[in-house]
Parts: sequence; C-alpha cells; structure tokens
Amino acid sequence: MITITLRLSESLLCIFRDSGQPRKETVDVRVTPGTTVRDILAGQGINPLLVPMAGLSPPMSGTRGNTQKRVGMDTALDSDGILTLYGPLAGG
Amino acid sequence: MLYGYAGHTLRIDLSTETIDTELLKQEWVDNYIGGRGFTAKILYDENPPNVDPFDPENRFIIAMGPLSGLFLPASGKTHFCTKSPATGGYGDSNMGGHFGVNMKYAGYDVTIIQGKAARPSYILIDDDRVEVRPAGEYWGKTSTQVEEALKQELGEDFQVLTIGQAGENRVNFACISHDFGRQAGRIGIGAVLGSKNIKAIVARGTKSIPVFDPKGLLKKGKETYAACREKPGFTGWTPEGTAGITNWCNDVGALPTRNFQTSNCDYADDINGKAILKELKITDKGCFSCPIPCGKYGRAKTQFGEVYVEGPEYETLSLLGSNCELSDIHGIAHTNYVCDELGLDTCSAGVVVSFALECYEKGLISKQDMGRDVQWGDLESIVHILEIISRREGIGDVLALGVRDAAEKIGHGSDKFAIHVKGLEWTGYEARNAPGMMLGYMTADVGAHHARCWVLGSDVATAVGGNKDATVHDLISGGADFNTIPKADHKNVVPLVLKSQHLRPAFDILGTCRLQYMEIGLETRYYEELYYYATGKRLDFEKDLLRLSEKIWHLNRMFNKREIPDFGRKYDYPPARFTQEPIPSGPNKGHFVDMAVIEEMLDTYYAARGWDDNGIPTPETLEAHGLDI
Repeated sequence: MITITLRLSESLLCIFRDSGQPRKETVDVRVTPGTTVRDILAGQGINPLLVPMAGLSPPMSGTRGNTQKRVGMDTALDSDGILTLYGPLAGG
Repeated sequence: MLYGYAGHTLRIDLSTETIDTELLKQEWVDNYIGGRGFTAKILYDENPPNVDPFDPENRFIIAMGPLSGLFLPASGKTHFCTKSPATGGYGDSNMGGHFGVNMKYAGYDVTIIQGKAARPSYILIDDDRVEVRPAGEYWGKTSTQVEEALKQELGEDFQVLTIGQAGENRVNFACISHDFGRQAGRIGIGAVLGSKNIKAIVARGTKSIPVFDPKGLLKKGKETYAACREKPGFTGWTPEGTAGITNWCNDVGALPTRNFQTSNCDYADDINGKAILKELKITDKGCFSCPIPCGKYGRAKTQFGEVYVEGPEYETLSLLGSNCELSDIHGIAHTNYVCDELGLDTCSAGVVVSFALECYEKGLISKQDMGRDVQWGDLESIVHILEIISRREGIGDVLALGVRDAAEKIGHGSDKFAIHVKGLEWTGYEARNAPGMMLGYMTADVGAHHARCWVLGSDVATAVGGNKDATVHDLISGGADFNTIPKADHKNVVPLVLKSQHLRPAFDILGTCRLQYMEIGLETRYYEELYYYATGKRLDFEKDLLRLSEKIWHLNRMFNKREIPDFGRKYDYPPARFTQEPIPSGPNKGHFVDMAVIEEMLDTYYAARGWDDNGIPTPETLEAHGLDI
C-alpha cells in the first residue's frame, strides 16, 4: 500500500463550501500501487469534472509548489506522494 | 501626508489645451479608496448627463489604487473608465503592464482627459512635464508600430499606450494596447480615445510614493511574494496561464462554439494551453512585479507568414477559436496578432466575427457586402472580417457597432443570435447550464463580462453533485454517456453571484491584479496588511473593501439609469439564443434557461440588492450606502 496525501486547492475548497459540501484541505488515503488519480478521486467522492488540474509532489515536500509535476486523471501512482487537486480557475 | 498615493490629479482639456495639476481629493480617498472606486465616482460626478460617448465632453479617466506601484505582488494594474460607446452606460477596463506604475511615479493617481485635440496627437507625461504633441505621422499606424516608434523617439524607459486603426475609426470594441501585447480591451475604451484624436499616451515617472511604514511594507511584501511561491498553484497555474482552463470548459460544456450555438467541440486538445506551450511559446511574460507571469509570448506561423504575439489567452482561444470554429492554434494566435495590431478587443471581436459568419451562412449578409466569400473556421475569412471592421468598409461599418446594434441594422431575426448583454459582447463561458454564471453576466454593470463575476465552478458542482445517479466520474470515464450532465439548480445562486460581483472587482479598487487571489489562493489578510503598511489605515477586506465594492455597484447602476433611456430590467435579459434554443450537442445537450427562471433569478437578485422590480436601487439602498443621488 502507498499513502497519498490529497490536498485541495483554495479554489476547490471554495467551490465545495459554496455548494454546501465543505471539505478538509488535506486527507491521507491508503491505496494499492498503480491506482489512478481518477480512482482515488472516485473513492473520495470527488467528481473529476471539478478537478481540471492535479499536481504530484514527493512526500515530505511540505507545501512548496515548485516540487510539483502535473499529472493527468489516468496517471497511475506507484509511490507515496502529495496529490494537489485544483478546482476550476477563471480564465482571466 | 497622504500615504500610499502619489497625491495628485492631472487634468487635461484637449479642446482648450489646458493642463492642470491639483491635489488628490481627500473625499475620493476616504470614500472610494482608489482605482475603480475613483473612476466610478468621478464619471458619475463629472460627466455631463446624457453626453454622447464620442462627444468631447465625455471624460476619459485613468486611475491607480493605493497599492499600485508598490513592492508587492502584481501591483501594476491600470484602470480606465469612460461612458461606453458599446453600451451607452458605465464602462471601465483595466490592463497590466507598466503604464500605470509610471503614471503614479510621475505623481498622478488620477488623470482626467476631456475635450478633443484639434489634430491627431499624443500625450507625453514625463514627471511634471505634460505636453500634447502632434501625432500625425503615427495616425493610421498599428499599435505596435506606434509603441516601437515612440520608444525609439523618447527612450525605452517610457511606457506607451496606443490605439490602433480600430480606435481611430471609432469601432465600438476598440481597445487600448500597451507593452506589445497587453490590452485594456473592453467597452470600446480605445474608440473614445480615438474620438479625442489621441493616438497614444506616453508616461515616465521617476518620483517615489510615500508610504506609511517603508520597512514594514518591505518585510510584508517579501512575505507576500514568498506566500505566492508556496502556493501549489504557483507552479500549477503559471505554465499555461489562463489557457489552462480550455479543456475543462469543453468537458463541462461551457466552451463557446460556433457563435454559441453549442458549448463543446472535438478539437479542444488542439487549442488549449498545452498546444500553446508546444507550438507557440517562446517565453513567459509578466506585468510589473508579478510572480505568476500568465502572458505567453510566442511565434505563430500561418499562410500570412510568421508573427510574434502575446497570447492567446483563454478568452481569445475560445472566442476567436472554437466560437469561430478555428481549430488551429497558429491560426488563433494570428487572429490575436491582427486584433492587437488593429486595436480590437479579442473578446468582442470573436463574438462579432462569429455573428457575422452566422449571418452570412443564413444569407443575411451577402457576398457583395462582405467583400468575399467567408467560411467558419477559415483563417483568411476571419482576418478579412477583422480588417473590414477596423477600416469600416462595407458590412464592416455595421459590424463595427457590435452585435447588438449590428443586429438592429441587419434585421431578419439576427438579434436572436446576437450574443451580448447591454450591448457588450459575452465572453468565453457558455452558460445555458450555468445559471449563476448567466446571472452574473446578465447583471454586470458594464455588460456581459466575466471579470465582474465567475461562479461557473459552483454551477458545475451544483449540477454534478445534485444527482447521485449521474456522477461525472461516469460521464468522463470510458463508455460514458456524454449527454447526461444534470441540469444545474438555479435556486441558490444569488448569494454566490453577489459575493463574486463584489469580490472580483475589489482588486481593481486597490490597484492590484486579482489573479494572485483568484488563481493561486493568496489570502485576503495579505492585502489588509499591505494596505496598512502602505497607507497607515486599517482595512477590513469584508467590511470595508467588499462593502465599497457593493456601493460602487449601486453607483454604476444609477449611472446607467441616468444615461440609458428606459434602462431597467429588460437590459438584464440574456441573449434570446440562451432562453429559446436548447444546446444541440455535448455534455449539456438539451439544456437552456427558461425565461420564467430568468425572471425568478432577477426577482431574487434585485431583492437581495435592495433594488426595485425594475432593477433600480431604492432610495433606502442608496442612503444606506451614503450615496446622495
């Protein structure tokens, strides 16, 4: 099993708050290696349509953004990491 | 000492060739803080009622905020305001870059221009030296030609804003250009400058801005930059900038396609942020003091040759791309370049071109009037339409009015697919299944502009969260039925719309870019603290700034009432297409907004605002906000 720390961006938290479904900023999830981002979201009841962008950081990298690599919904995760989920961002 | 401000207002009367400097009014500072607050107050007070937008007496106002030009993230916003030729009502537009900072360093928080120059001219502002100079040699030139020439003539350290041919010819959606690719795009602001015979304004400032606590501001400024860098969005959002949202909009059925006939296309991957990075981008480009440079400066290659252009941003990708069925990223970038050179707002231009293409397709505009055959998705057709608009040739003279007034002249039911509110073309978010977003567009003071309200994410959350039998996980995973996004609920959208309408323009008051807050989540407390160190005054973001933002909303509504005959509820209605035509394809297939829902949302919205049934602020509301109108 691997541990994925899900971190919700402020834009996503805001949307959940506004739609009456407030969530915590971070939550640890234990999954088997090879689980996709999409499946992790589904397991958490987070609709992928609300997450246009996701970034993966190594574990213990704190909250620094510059260690992140952008990942797609079908990316399989093989080791521990921080998965940051971004809500939709206004285009300008 | 007035901390945080340059302390002066510059007044230029082009007709009398009078230039005056006066102390910045304390009343403006105390009651309107800066930027958009200043311009709304000044336009209401100083514009002669019912003056034509192209009358010399229409004011052209430039204003910065108390945080403009200071050591903090993205403090380079410049705010412009005038009576809009597109809507006939209140109009403002802002841009990044470096111009406003230099205006403030030159000593001016506010510049008010009235009158009309006797001949094509440009305004030179070099600290205390302010001159109106002949610009005959620049008239007819493109925006970047003029910017380059003036920098060569005066020096690289001068910041230049210009209009293109579209502004000279009073196209109702002409913009102001600056810094080889930044624009104040909306409401026809460039046309008003053109009507005053002003081709360019050039500024250089070398003075300092007094701040209450320089050391504290420096420390807090550094902390704020560091906070930006710590945000996950810092590396997540910056690489693609606003274009990063393209696929999401397509997936949720909000990407304007074929003049808003539908809201989804099958080539989003070809016109998105990744396509820009792969095909166009040379370098990131940021505004003054910005830590998240969203500009993508790049090179486009088409049959027209090779051009260099900043952009396209999301709005341009959607409105000159999918909305015109142009599916080639190089082609879209070329149309962006053409608009920049001619001085056209890419948002309105995209909607006007798509309107023209639909008129042509339906036989409402002839080949003779158009000057050639034109087709959806054809780069040469789109460039042709943009050029005849800017020169006002043939049908271009009618299209230059914008879709509302063009539809009135073209007739034959074309008003049903003229996509605008109050005369301002709709921007890049199709909203037939996004009632909050639609209400935001409908009720914006300047017309259909996303900068005033953006609640699309909440609309989608409501839609997909409201029906547990149709999770979007199923919709976008293999074998999903793409046509079953549930209808979004309109019942609870008003509080969200109000909040967004107060929040997004609030940054225009301070003189900073909103993207640090909106896109990477910089906390509002940073703005409160920076404001304190700059001005020496405490500011509560919610109680003070958002309350002022709300006050400005009422003030601008009263400006529209004063200036637009029969202004009221009917000016808040969305385009007929959105209430009469179900979306024919894509994830929101079948959805539209019934007029009964529109009326219900407006009733709720007006009541929450303290406006009467016709959408006019009540005397009690005005009094509660200290507006003596």
